[in-house]
Amino acid sequence: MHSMLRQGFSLLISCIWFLSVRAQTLQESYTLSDSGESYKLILAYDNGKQPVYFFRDIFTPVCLDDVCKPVRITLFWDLLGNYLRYEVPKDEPLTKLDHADFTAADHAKLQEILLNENSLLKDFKMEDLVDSSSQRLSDSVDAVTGATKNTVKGEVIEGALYTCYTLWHLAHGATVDDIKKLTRKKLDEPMLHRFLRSDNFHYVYFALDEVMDAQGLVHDAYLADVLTLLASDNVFAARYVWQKINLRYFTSADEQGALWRIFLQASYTQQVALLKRMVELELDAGIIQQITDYLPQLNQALFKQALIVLAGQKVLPQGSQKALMAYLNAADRERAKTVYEALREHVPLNEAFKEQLRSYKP
Amino acid sequence: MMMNLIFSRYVWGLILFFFVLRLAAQEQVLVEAESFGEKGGWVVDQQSFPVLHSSYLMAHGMGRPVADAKTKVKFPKRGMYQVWVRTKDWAPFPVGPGKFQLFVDGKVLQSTFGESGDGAWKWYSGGEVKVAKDSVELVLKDLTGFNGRVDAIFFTKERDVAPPNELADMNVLRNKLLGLDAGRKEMGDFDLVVVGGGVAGTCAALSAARLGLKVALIQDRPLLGGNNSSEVRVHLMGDLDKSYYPKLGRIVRELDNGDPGNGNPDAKEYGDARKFAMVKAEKKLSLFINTHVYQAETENNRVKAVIGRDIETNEERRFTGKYFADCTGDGTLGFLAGADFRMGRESKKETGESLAADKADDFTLGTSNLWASLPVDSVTTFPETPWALPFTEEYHIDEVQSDWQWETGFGNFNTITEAEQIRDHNLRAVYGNWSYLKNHKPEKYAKRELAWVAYIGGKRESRRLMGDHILTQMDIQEGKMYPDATVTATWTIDLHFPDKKNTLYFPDEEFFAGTKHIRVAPYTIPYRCLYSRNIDNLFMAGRDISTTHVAFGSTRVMRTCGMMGEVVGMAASVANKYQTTPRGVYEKHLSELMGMIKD
Repeated sequence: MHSMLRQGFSLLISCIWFLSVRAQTLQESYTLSDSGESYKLILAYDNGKQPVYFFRDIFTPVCLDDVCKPVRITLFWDLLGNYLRYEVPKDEPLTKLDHADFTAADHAKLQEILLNENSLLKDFKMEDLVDSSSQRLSDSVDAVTGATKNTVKGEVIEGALYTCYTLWHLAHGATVDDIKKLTRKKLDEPMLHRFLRSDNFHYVYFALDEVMDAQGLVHDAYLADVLTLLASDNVFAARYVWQKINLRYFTSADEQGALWRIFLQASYTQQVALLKRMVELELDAGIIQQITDYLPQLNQALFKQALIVLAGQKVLPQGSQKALMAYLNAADRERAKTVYEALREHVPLNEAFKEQLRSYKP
Repeated sequence: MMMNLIFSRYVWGLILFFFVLRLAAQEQVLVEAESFGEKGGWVVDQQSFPVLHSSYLMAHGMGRPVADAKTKVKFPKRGMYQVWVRTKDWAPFPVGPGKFQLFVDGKVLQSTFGESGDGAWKWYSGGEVKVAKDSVELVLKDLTGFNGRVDAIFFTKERDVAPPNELADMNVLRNKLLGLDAGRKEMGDFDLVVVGGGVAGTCAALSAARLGLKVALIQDRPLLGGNNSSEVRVHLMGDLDKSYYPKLGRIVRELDNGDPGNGNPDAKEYGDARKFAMVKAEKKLSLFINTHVYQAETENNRVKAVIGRDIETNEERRFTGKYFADCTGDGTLGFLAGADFRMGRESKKETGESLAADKADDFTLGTSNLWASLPVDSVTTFPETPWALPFTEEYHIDEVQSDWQWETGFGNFNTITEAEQIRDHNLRAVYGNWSYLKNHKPEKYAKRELAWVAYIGGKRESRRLMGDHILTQMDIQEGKMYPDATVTATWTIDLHFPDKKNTLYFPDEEFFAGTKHIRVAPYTIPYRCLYSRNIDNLFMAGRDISTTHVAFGSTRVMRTCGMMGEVVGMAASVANKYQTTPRGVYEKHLSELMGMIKD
């Protein structure tokens, strides 16, 4: 209960903060016809004159009949149309079926519902959620059958079903595309840099798709940003970059050295992804040696993957061959087998290695 | 009497067997970890018995180190011994969290175990210890609460000779040092031996015993109910009130403890005590819990006996019987006896089903390890989990409690031979996600704690034993009423698949499911789906009955499985009355069986 009060309080504070921000900042207003919604969409700028978010003041009925009041609410989106938050005027609070004001817990729940872009509300028609025999708003979701019933219950506020439904569809409706279109028109180099360095992962992926073409070639101005992402601990974005980026950026010894340093710092998941694609690289002799030297530090799964990378090289330096050969007779027979299976058909090995492979016994 | 004896053992927790064999040379001692006298906070896990031929002990503390496990070991001879510990690193990505130590006579061994980065079960050297007394205490000290595990501890006077890792050699060693075969007990001769004490098996045993058969019910966990027990916490689904035969479902109703949903944090909601009470009330029914059946004796296409091993004490138990019922879920008994079975999906061409796969494959539905959190008064912490699946703001599951969607093993893991890996993958998802929520969403999760995480997997699909009829999608959708129509089923054809977004982030490592419910009108399951087509005295009830993969998607829910058990109990009584086979009941006495069902 205490935490609910605190949440309510922080919501109030943030409303006040937003009001003051809105009063100070530069805004642009758009009236869009194609979304079918006549409420003005407003773009807010920060003090550095960079666009920061969109908002829209909305006045909408939230009932099928007149059992409850219309709602006055402001919805906020980021620059790509991802819903952020809402505000309601102090003197016109949100109410439930029995005209009771929303509690702090209800507000927290509503925010959670609206943040969920994959809410089950997406696929339901309002009729599915309403008791059709009386055409009155229903608190229950008994019309929904089977295993989903309890799940839908978890996605609405008791007594405010239609409010949740209406607001969710406003937050995730046509406005999203309107915003994307507007942002795209304003897209420039500073904004793309800002996006690539953002904590908002939507911005990151959007910008990556803008600066990288189908061949994975990156516009020069953004290469440093993209490589920083590759090395970042944002595991999913880093993997995305690595799977898309053109490997011509990893041809020289220096570039490969930098890649190997990224590997050494990377999370396990990213290490797996890195090795999977490193097979496609023709590696510098020095890097091959570094990989070979690092093999004892790898677990069996990564060891196996690294061996595939090494076996894919046209030439293995003598130092590397010597170290690999030692595995064939080592006490760890699993590693011996891995080395044997990876290299037995690898042609350019020295004679001693080939002899060891021929006489290998599991 | 027998049941009372077994009950009293677990009520008082007194009998602590473990086997220490004196070799002729008296120089080797094998201690099975699951046989430790005091388990402390460690739990016994038998789910990998088909792979390891043993249970093991696991420190399932949800991130808090569990209390020590202790035991006394008698040494036939004093002196210096080499110590070996059979364990694994369960999350070698690259190094897992399951660290633990072993104390011998109060002294800690130098090695810390469970963090080798190697996911295979192996013997690890613990160095040399001096045994200066006849009886020495062993203590397993968990260091993390994150599922460190021990299969066995081995003492030998031989230097530098590791115990065997190969299964066959391990079996020889176990049998020799633990005296397994030599100590095997005859548990009696029964009219019906039911293997598997889930909802189907419990209903089968109750049904048969109430009709006067002498019944053994063998369950490989300490609790009855299987997926509906408080160890797994899946709710009962499938309707009873749409049955063509209202009599069916009476036993299911009795053991139904109400619907607490899936993964409810309150264990009592699942009615373990109710199930025990029902079984205990039947004089003709003997219950054998903690007994994993791993061997079947057959003769002329009949099962003569089954052999089980106590998952804690390793006592061997042999049960003979006239009829057997495979209610194991995995089709374990059928498999051991050589019954025809299928596993995976049939092709459209093979079954003619529109929902079948284009090509036959190994795909099965997955296994769930449910979990739940509860609010607490103060802020609590949960460690970072670099060995778990990674979660970020971009992808995490923002839930205080799990539901059925937490599911692993869609054809990328074998639900029988890789049950341990599936469970462990589920744990890596649960702990990784929870760590993210606790450390990055404090406003919602700072004052919440994991209340419960299942370490026993709730398995959906494995083998399907083939009967004289194989239920298909067409049987279901056309509502065919065969003369032997018995159980009425109502659940949708509910075939899970990996959630698309989950696949995007965790390709080949999915742990979250989606489904599409295909509605069905109430339909019936023919009796011929409930006995084996090639093992003459073998019934089956539960998720391993004779269906296609598609039809299984509907028959697999537990109220429906329970009703199958009820029918098997009735059919066994008819078979016994006329000294015939399950097929003989269909061919010659169907009207009597149907009379009982319709009565």
